[in-house]
Amino acid sequence: MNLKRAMQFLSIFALMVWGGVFVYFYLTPAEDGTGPLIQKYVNANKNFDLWVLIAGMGLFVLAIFNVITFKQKSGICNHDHSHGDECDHDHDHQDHHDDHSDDDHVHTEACDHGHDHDHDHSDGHDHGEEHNHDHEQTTAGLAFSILILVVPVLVAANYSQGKFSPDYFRKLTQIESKMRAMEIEKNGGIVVQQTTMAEVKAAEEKAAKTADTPPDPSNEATTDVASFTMEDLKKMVPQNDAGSFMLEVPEIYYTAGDQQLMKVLEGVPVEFTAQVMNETVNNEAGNRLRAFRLLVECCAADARPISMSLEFSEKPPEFEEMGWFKMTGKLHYAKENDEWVPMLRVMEFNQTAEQIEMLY
Amino acid sequence: MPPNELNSFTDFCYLFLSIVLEGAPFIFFGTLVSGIIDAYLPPGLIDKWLPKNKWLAVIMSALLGAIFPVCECAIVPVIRRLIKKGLPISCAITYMLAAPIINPITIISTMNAFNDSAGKSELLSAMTKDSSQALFVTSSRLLIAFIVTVGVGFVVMKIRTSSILRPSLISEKEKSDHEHDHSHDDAGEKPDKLVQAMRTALRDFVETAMYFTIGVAITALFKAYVTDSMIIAFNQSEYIGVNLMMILAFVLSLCSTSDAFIAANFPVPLSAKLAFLVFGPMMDVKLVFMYLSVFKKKFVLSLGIGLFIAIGALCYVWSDYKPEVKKAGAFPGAALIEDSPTIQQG
Repeated sequence: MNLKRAMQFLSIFALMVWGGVFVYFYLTPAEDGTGPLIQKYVNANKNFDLWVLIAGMGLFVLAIFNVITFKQKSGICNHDHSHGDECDHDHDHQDHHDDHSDDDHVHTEACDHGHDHDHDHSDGHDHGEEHNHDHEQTTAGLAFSILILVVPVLVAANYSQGKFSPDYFRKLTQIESKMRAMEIEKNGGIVVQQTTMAEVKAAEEKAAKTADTPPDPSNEATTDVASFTMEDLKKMVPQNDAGSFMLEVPEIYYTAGDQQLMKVLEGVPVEFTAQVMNETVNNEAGNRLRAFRLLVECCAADARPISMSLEFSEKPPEFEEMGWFKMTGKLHYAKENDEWVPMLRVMEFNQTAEQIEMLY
Repeated sequence: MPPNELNSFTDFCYLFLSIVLEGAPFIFFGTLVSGIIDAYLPPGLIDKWLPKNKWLAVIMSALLGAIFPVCECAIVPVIRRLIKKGLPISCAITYMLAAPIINPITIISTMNAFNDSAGKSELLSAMTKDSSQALFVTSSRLLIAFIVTVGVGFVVMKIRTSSILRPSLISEKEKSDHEHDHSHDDAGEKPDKLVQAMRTALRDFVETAMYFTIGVAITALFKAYVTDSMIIAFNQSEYIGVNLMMILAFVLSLCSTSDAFIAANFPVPLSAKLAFLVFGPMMDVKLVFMYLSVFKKKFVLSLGIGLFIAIGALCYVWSDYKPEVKKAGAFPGAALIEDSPTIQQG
C-alpha cells in the first residue's frame, strides 16, 4: 500500500472518529439522567440533536462506502496541475496530448479534464496511479488535516463535562451586570422609577368604577375585552399544590412590557428554581438578590443569562453565590428607566439540589 | 476518564464541542452536495442557467439563497465545487456571502429574535402583537447584505481570477471554462459517478472540517479564557459600538441562524446590531479558515477589510432612517429597537 492510499484510509478513519463521536453523544445518557448527552450541547427543541445523529450516521455510511469502493475507479480527474504557490513551471495549453504517453496517469473514460498543461513530469513529481492528486493537498498537508480533525475532537469529547464551570457562569453574569450598570450610567447613574403595575391596575379599576360598569367577574385582572385573562393563565401554566404558578425566569422576564400579561400576572404567586447571585446594581437598600437561568438558542456556546430581581422584605439570607435555589413569592412589575422590569417579592427561599443548567 | 473537575479547560472543551456538534452536520451536508455537484453537474450547465448579462447574473446570485438556502458552514465546500464547475467567481462570491443571510431560515430567526415574543414560551408567544420592529431589523439586514454582496460581486468581476483563487482551483476552473474534452480510454473500466461523488465528499469534508475545527477552537479559546473587559467599550459611542460589534461577530463565529438572538440582547445602538448581523455571517474566525481552502490569503484579507468598512458605513447611515417607534413599555420589542436600553434593570 503506498502512502497515498494510506492517507486515504486515514481520511476514512477521521470520518469514522467524527461519526463515532456524534453517535456516541446522541446515544449516551447524561450523568444527571436528564436525557441524552447531546442535549447538554445543542438545542433539542430545534432538532439540532437529530441533525447530529443523522450526520453521525451519514459520516459512517460515507466512510464505509469509501472503504468498499476503495479500489474502484472513480473517474475523479481532479488532479490539479497547478502545483501550488511554490511550483513555477510552465503550464502551457499547447501540445498537451503529447505528454500523456509518458506519465504514469491512468486516465479513465470520464476524464474530460482539460489537461491544460505542458508540464514535465520528470521534475520530481511522483504521481500515484489513482491520479487524483492535488498538489496543494500534499501528503504532509493531508496528514496535518487528519490530525487537526481527530485530536481536538477526541480531547474535547474526553474532557468536556457537559456543563460550565462556576467561573464561566460568573463571567457571563458579570457581563450582564456590567451591561445593566452601563444603562443606568446613561441616565446619570440614577434609576428612575416611574410607576408600578399595581398603580396602573388600581387606577384602571377606579376608572372602571366611576364609569359605573361592573367589572366582569370572570375577568378580574383586566378590563380589556378578548384579552389574556387569569383563566387563560390557569389553563396554560401549571400550578403547584399551594397554587403558585410554575414559571421559569426567562418566561417571566419576557412578560415585562406586555400590558395584558403584566396586568394578569401582577401580584400572582409564582414558584421557580434558579441560580442566585448578588444584586450589584440598583440595590441601595441592600434587600435584593438576582435570580438567573441560562438560555440557549442553538448550542451551549451561545448560552446567555436571563435574570430578574428578587426583593426581600429585609436583608436577604446568607446564600451560596451561583447556588441553586427554589423560591416562591409574588410577582411585581415596575417601570424603571422607561422599561418595565419584573421582580419577585420573595416569601420562601431554599437551597435545592436541582440543577438543570440550561433552558432552551 | 478525567476527574470531574470544572475549570477553564473543561469550559473550552465544552464550548468547542458544542459548536462542532452544531456546525458539523451542515458541513457534512455541504460536502455531500459538493460531491454530487462534482460527479453529476456537467460543466457548462451553470452558464446556461445564469443570465447572459454578467451584472444581472451577480444580482441574481445574491438572491439565490432564497431558493437554495445554505448556511455559512455548508456553503464553502459547495462554492468550491461550483467554481470548479465553471460558476463565474463574481457570482460565486456573491452567492457565498449572501446566502447565509438572504435565506428563509435566517429571515424567520431574525424576525423571532427581534419580535416581542423572543424567547417566550408557548404561553407568551401566543400573545405576540406587534412585529413592525422585527420587520425593520430583518428587512434592513437583508437589504444591507444584498447591497454589500452585489457590490463585492461587481468589484470581483474586475479582478483577475489568478489573484483571487488558490492555484489548484484556477486550473480546475480553466478546465471547465475551456470545456475541451479529451478522453482517455486506456483504463477500459467505466467509472462510477457515485464513487466519484462520495470520494469527493470525503476529501472535501476532511479539508473543510479541518479549517472549521481550527476556527472553532479559536472561538472557544476566546470565550473560555478572555475576560469581559471589552464589553465596557461597547457603549461609548455609536461609532465604536458598530466597530466593536463587528469584531465581536468575527470572534464569536455564530451561526447565521442564531446570531440574531445574541444581537437582540446587546445594549448597543441599532446600527451596531445590524453591523453584527450582516458582517458576522460573511466573515468570522471559522470562515476565514474555511475561505482559505478556496481563496488566496491576500484576497481573504482584502475581502475582510472591504466588508468591514462597507458594512460599518452602511449600517451607520442606515439606522438614521429607522422608523419612529412607540415608547418603550408598550411592548418589549420596542426596547430592542431603541437606541439605548435593551437589557432590563431591576
